[in-house]
Parts: sequence; structure tokens; C-alpha cells
Amino acid sequence: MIELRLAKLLPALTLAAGLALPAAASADCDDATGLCVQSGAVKWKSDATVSAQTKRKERKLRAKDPVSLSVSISGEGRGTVFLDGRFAGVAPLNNFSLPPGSHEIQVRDGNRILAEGVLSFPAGESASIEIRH
Amino acid sequence: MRSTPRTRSLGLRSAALALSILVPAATVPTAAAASSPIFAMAKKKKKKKAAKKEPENKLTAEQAEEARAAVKVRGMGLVDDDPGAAASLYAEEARKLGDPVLFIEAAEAYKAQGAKEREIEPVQSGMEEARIALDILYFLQDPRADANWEIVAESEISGLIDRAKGHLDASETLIEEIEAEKAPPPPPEAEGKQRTPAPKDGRGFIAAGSLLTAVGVGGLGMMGAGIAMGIDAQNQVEDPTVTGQDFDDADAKGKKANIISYAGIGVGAVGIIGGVALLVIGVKKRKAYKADHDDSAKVRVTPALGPAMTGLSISGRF
Repeated sequence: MIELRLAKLLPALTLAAGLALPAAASADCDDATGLCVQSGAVKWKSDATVSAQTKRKERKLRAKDPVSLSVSISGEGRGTVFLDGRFAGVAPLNNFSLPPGSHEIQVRDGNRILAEGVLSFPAGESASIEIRH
Repeated sequence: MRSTPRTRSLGLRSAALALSILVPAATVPTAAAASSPIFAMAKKKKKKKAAKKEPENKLTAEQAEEARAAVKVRGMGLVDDDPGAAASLYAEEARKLGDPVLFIEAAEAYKAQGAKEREIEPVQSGMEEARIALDILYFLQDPRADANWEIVAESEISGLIDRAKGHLDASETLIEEIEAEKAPPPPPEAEGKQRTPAPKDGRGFIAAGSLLTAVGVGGLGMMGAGIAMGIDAQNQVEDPTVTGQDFDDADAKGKKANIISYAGIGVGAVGIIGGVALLVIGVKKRKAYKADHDDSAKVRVTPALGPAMTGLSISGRF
């Protein structure tokens, strides 16, 4: 409950302080600061991780048909995509197959992290994400 | 329904049999229990539980090394003859395995291809492979990396980062070399344009001033000669013995001497005034230039006076 309140309060505090928001959960492409999810049902939460409890809860969901993820980087940017702690491919990554549920993603260019957080896929929902930087 | 003595004895027998099986398992000493089939089953279950804790997709550094070695054996046969084919093989397998070592191998094979063919494109492809290797190596140092994905041993990471960075530096040098080889020679006009402009140290003013002063001195000389000729002609004209044709010649000579004198005055005045002005400007500029630059050029303007001449002496290095 406290976490939820903090989560709601943080963007307001950040805006009030005049700071740029990190790539936040968003289904539109208005947020020019980072990751943009081009799917209404897939949720994105920046800087989050997938807990063991979430993995246990999603065991049945993960057994369902795989979904796909595409990752692109705007402009002439480059980056490598890591999913659930492992190498997934080099951007642009097209239709990477993975089980539904929550997945940790990190996109990096050398020492620089372009985006990191958790993507939550409902069953049968694929997603395309674009990283703007 | 009431039980008959036969059925009662059957029930008792079943209970006794059950007890005879259960009691040894529960109460016998440990050494005996270890060899009993029930304990053995429980142990198997424990083993199964322990096996379940180990993730199915665990990758150890040794397993990764084995997979890599198989690819390297195939690639090594190609590197010398066809580095491009070796690079493609390494790059493809590197993407399948997510192996930074194979990405570096691909990078080096692409660079070898570029060096062999003197082409920039393969070298650039190799640089991208090295960058992917760096992405993976930095990620392996990140807490988000899966501990069960040990694609390279932790102790090797920093050495591989240095290797990938070294490759990027060497590739940039190679690209510069190839570009220099391919660059067309500069056109001759451009060479002419590249001449350094003369320094603005007043040397033009001094040269022009010197020339003009010399002309002015010449003008003064003309004036002197004209005056001398005029005096001579005047003396002849005033001589009562000079008459007729001689008088006319002396008169014409006097007129000519006057023209020479006037011309000399004009040329001398303009030359001396203009020349000295230009020299003054030039010398000032030279001094200002010398103040800004450590130049050893020296100009001297000194008056030159003598029994047969009057003027300025200019000496210096331009």
C-alpha cells in the first residue's frame, strides 16, 4: 500500500522538482525520455525487477503459447538487448519469442544503459518497443 | 452384519501383516533403515528435489568453452584463406550463443578481411562485432545478469574488455590508413593556394617608399642638372660675344635646362615626400610586427650627405 502511494507520488515530486521523468509505464509514444511500448496490453515499468514470488504466480501463464517482442532504437542509435539476464540479440530485434508473463529487459550500448525495467506480457499479447535517446 | 470367526481371523492377519511392514521401517536402527527400500525411496525424492533446484538452462563457463571450441576449430581453417567466411561463421555462432569471445573473433576476422582487401566496410563490420562483445561483457558485470548464464568465466571479463577495446583502436587506425591510400592526390591549384601569405610586416611599404625616394632623389638630381645647364646657358646668352646661331643655341639650351629643372623639382618633391611617408609607415608597421613576432629583420634609414650628393640611405633585410 505504501509502495503504491509512493509510486503515485514519485512522478509528481519529480515533476515538481523540475527533473526529467525516467522511462515510465506508458502505452503511448509521448515520453521522449526513453522506452516506448507500442502495445496497449503490455505493461512497462522502468528500473523494476521480477521477484521470485511473481515468477511463482506466473507459472501457469508462462506455460501458455509464446508471445513475441520487437525492439528498435530511434535514429542511428545502436544497442544490445538482454532479456531475463541473458543475451537476446542486437537491436533491431525482430519477433523474439518468449513466454507470456513478466520479463526483465535491459538495452545497453557499451557502458551506457539505454533502458531497463520489466515488461509484462498478458497471454497472446506481443509487443514492439522503441527506445528513444 | 456380524463377522464370522473366519473373517475375524482374516482381519487380524491383515493388521498383523501391515504392522510387520511398518514397524521395521519406523523403529529399527539407522544402519538398517538405510538399506531398507522405504528409506531408499525417500532419499531418491530428496535427490530429485535437489536436482530440481538446479535450473535446466544453466550454462557454466566450461560448457560455453566447449561450444566455443567447436566453432573455433571450424573457423581456424578459414581465417587464413578466407577471413570473410570465417568472420561470417563466428558472427553467426556468436549471435546464437551470445558469446562475447566469438564476437571478438568475428571482429578480428573482419579486420583481417579489410586489411587483406584494403576495404573499409569489413573493418567497420568488425568494429560493430567488437561493440556487441563489449555490451555483453559490461552486462555480465551488471547485477541484472543471470548468475546461471556464465558465458565466460568472471576472471576473464576484464581481459576480454581490453581485447575488444584494443581491437576498436586498431580498426580505427587501419581505416585511416586505407582512407589515406584511397584519397586522390591534391590538385596542383590547391597547392598554389596553400602558399603562406606574406607577413604584414610593412615590407611592401618600405620597398615602395625606397623606390619612390630613389625616384625623388633622381628628380632632385635632374633639378640640379637643369639649374647647372640653365646657369651655363644664361652665361652664354649674357655674353656679348655670343651672337647669331650660338645665341639661339644657348637660348634653346637654357629653355631646355629650365624644363629639366622644373621636371626635376616636381619629380623630386613628389618622390621625396611620398617615399619618406611610405618609409615611415613601413618602418612603423615593421616595428609593430616585430613586437608581435620575434623577427630579426632590420631596416635602417639614415641621411646621406656628401660634397656631391644629398639624400637618404636605406639598408635592411626584407
